[in-house]
Amino acid sequence: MRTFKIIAFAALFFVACTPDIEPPEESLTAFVPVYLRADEVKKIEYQSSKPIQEAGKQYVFGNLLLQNEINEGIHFFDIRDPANPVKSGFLQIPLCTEMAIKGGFLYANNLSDLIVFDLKTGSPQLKKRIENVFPPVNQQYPPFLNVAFVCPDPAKGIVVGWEQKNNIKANCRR
Amino acid sequence: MTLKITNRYVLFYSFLLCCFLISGCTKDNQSLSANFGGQGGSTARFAVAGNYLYTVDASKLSTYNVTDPGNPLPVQVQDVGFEIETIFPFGDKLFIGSTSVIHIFDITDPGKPAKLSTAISPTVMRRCDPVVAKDSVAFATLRSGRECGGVQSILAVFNIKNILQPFQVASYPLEAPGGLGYKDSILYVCEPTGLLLFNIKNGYNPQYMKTLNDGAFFDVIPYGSLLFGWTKTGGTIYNIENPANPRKLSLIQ
Repeated sequence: MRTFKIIAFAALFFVACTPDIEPPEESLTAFVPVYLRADEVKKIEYQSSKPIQEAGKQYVFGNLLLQNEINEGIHFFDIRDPANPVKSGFLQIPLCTEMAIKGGFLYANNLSDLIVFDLKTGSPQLKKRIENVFPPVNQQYPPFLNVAFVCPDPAKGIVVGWEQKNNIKANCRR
Repeated sequence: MTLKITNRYVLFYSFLLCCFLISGCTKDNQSLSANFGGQGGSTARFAVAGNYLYTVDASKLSTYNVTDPGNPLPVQVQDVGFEIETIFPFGDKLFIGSTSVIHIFDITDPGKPAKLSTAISPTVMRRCDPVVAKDSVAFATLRSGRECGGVQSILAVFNIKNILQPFQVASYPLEAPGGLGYKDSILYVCEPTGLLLFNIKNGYNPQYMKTLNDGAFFDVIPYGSLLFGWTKTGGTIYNIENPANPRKLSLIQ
């Protein structure tokens, strides 16, 4: 019993040594905020064609094939001759992952907004924006529990996503 | 004088030709979408059906009136479930895939999607499921692993003759399937190994035919006589005039 009391007392001592606030830790894997400046988020423009780097979804309408570049925009392909697709341009739309076409108009997502382009006038023209219709990205923490993450710094811009990375000094946790 | 007459005939025959082309294309796409026009894959979150645009995020279905296509009018937003992944319009129905079940909505009143039923795979715990429907069958790929949970990935086949009480009638084991699509009696299923072809003449009993080892496809779009399939790096365009024997035409890169 006496031995037990000594051990119990010692254990208590060690437990009490554990600090309440954890210092920055080197995590195996942690979430890092991805930033874009406010002016960058809505930077929409039609550019000359460029290579596909991270292909997202496709959408086809008549002789037009759209190839999403994940979170970057949409590649335009003329497929009048499907054996010889011609890449005709790239529509830069930050954070775009979805698209659809009706009646000569293209619908796409741009962060939380639904945007509409007129395709009938040569190059796509931004015609309408409906704001805040898609779930916003949380500005404080990633959408998971029991994770380590780098605390977001509003001075760096808007948080547009959370990336999981290895060997990160994470200073926040939830 | 002679030139004028020639032009009139050219115009008339061009008009006839257009009619044939349009009617031909519409026939091909009747089972794919409510309105011939654009087409996305089975993993899309945006879908156009008739004069409406439907979008899904993780939990909500948003409906927009696009009768004036350049001016979408938000109609309503409704909660449909959780971990919603995909949307597939099919005639007067919307099939909405989530990680656990397929939600089936009626869009007879297109501005007010109404929940009809839920199709549940009896073996599913958590999977990601793009879904397509044809006549009285629905096909879904249920992918296990990573964020999707579950143990075995499958192609699940549902009897939707009674749309209010869909039930699974068959399953086929798969590795890590992505999206799917069909033309006539051929179902195309995306796998890391390539594109799997199934004969779905008897829809409730798909028969595996072969695999086109052309890349790790994420999704496909059957569109008239063409099939578009894409991977992480771009895509492949096939001619599927003979749906059981896709002919590679070109690469999207």
